[in-house]
Amino acid sequence: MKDAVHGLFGRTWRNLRAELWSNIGTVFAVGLAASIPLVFALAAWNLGRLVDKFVGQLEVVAYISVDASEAQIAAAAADIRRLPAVETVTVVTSEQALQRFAEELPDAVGVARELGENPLPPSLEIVLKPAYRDLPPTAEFTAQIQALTGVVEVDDGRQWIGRLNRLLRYLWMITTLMGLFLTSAAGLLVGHAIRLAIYRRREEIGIYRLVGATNRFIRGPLLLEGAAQGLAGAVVGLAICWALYRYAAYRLHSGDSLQSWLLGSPHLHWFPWTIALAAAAAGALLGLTASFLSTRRFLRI
Amino acid sequence: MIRFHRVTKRYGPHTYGLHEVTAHVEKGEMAFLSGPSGAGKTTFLRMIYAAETPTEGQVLVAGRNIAKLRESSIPYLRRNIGVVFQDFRLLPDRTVFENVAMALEPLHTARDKLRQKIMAVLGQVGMTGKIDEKPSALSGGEQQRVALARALVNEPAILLADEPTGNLDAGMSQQIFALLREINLRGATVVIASHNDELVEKYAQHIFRLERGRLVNPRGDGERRP
Repeated sequence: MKDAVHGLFGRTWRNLRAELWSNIGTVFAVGLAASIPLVFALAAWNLGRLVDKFVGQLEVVAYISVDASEAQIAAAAADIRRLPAVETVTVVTSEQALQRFAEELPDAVGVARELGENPLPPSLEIVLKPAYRDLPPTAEFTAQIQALTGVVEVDDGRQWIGRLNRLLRYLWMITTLMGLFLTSAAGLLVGHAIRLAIYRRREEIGIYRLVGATNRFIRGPLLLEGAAQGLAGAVVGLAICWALYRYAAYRLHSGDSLQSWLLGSPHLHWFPWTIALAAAAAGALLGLTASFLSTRRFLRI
Repeated sequence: MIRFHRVTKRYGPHTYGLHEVTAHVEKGEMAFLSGPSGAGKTTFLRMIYAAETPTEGQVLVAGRNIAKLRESSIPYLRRNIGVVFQDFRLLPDRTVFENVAMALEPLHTARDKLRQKIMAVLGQVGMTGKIDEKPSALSGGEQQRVALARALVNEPAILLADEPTGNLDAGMSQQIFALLREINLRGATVVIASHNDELVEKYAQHIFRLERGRLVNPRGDGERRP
């Protein structure tokens, strides 16, 4: 058994070395094909994290009529505090809102002052309890706040979450379709490489047949070669994806103020090692399957 | 050891490789197949190592019916049969040692035993001094010796040679035939296809003459020599 395994790996290694450049070419072609869905998957995964984070930090803001009295505002705040999902309610007066506006956008504050009167309405900033933060607020919850006296508008972020989730769905759909298409292409590449290997080694295979080699003996190294090509291709694909991820992370972190204003401070994340490992294993499995199909079709023992 | 019973191999409606051939080769014999090109000598040999199956009739090799042999059993039959060809069939990128080792690899022979066996068989064919040479550095006669070593390293009961001296000069041919005779004297059943009449006459114990797929002597026992 030990000699059989040693022989199998020895023959596989000899063949991989003998056709080194052709194998490197196949691995890079598979790597390029694999990198595209991996990049999309990474983008979708990061966007998913961003949506989760956004939902987790979601704050509901209830805007109060500028005509509302302080008593009405306090009553509305008290009503909201009684709702089971609510952790805290902070009253932001028109003056406080203007002050924040001046701090965040100092260049634009002059425009607001030129209007003569403060255009910003008072509001109630509602923080949900942790158990409710991972889900977007329900329409019922928003309707309850909307119904309170003095409340003119409720911004619950659901619109944004809906948009982001739609974008996320499209991104995963594109990733899946592209993944299926490019995985098939990568499989065909490996299958074709194995077919060429069978053709190049027809003399060797003929001699092995003549001296009593079994199908398994002849097919074994070809299957291992296919698996090795798939595995190495997936690793190259992950490496390309990682390089792009590093570049994107570098660009986002060195960003200017507009970018920071638009995106906040987005931290890109690399796949967990289990997913990277699964991608590599899937590459090996794809190579093995492609090689198996190729040997079944083209290797007449 | 080898029995052909009314064997016909048809490639087309009127194209025959062999036609109603009945032949017996006993254990330990050195038999020759003679006849012009296209007479069916190669088809005869190919049937013995199950590269072809008869369209009609039966081929028995060491008691096994070739036509009924399962595909998965063919390798095990071939491990008892050594085959050499006119064109040697050595891999040019491998050394003499590695070419001979190919016959032992499917048996998963341990490395030390593999080396021991290869050195012994290369000694037998007089090639121990060239184990690290590539076939391109060898003469035709030496290449055929290496091919013979590869065929013999498993100690097969049957050795088949298809025009083994077809690419060699007279001197080399003589040496190869002498070697085949020596192998036969050690106990192997040897079947040689050749149209080198001079050498066939010199070495033959048993001759089957084929013409257009038919045996000239149709009884199956060929021509025996004392």
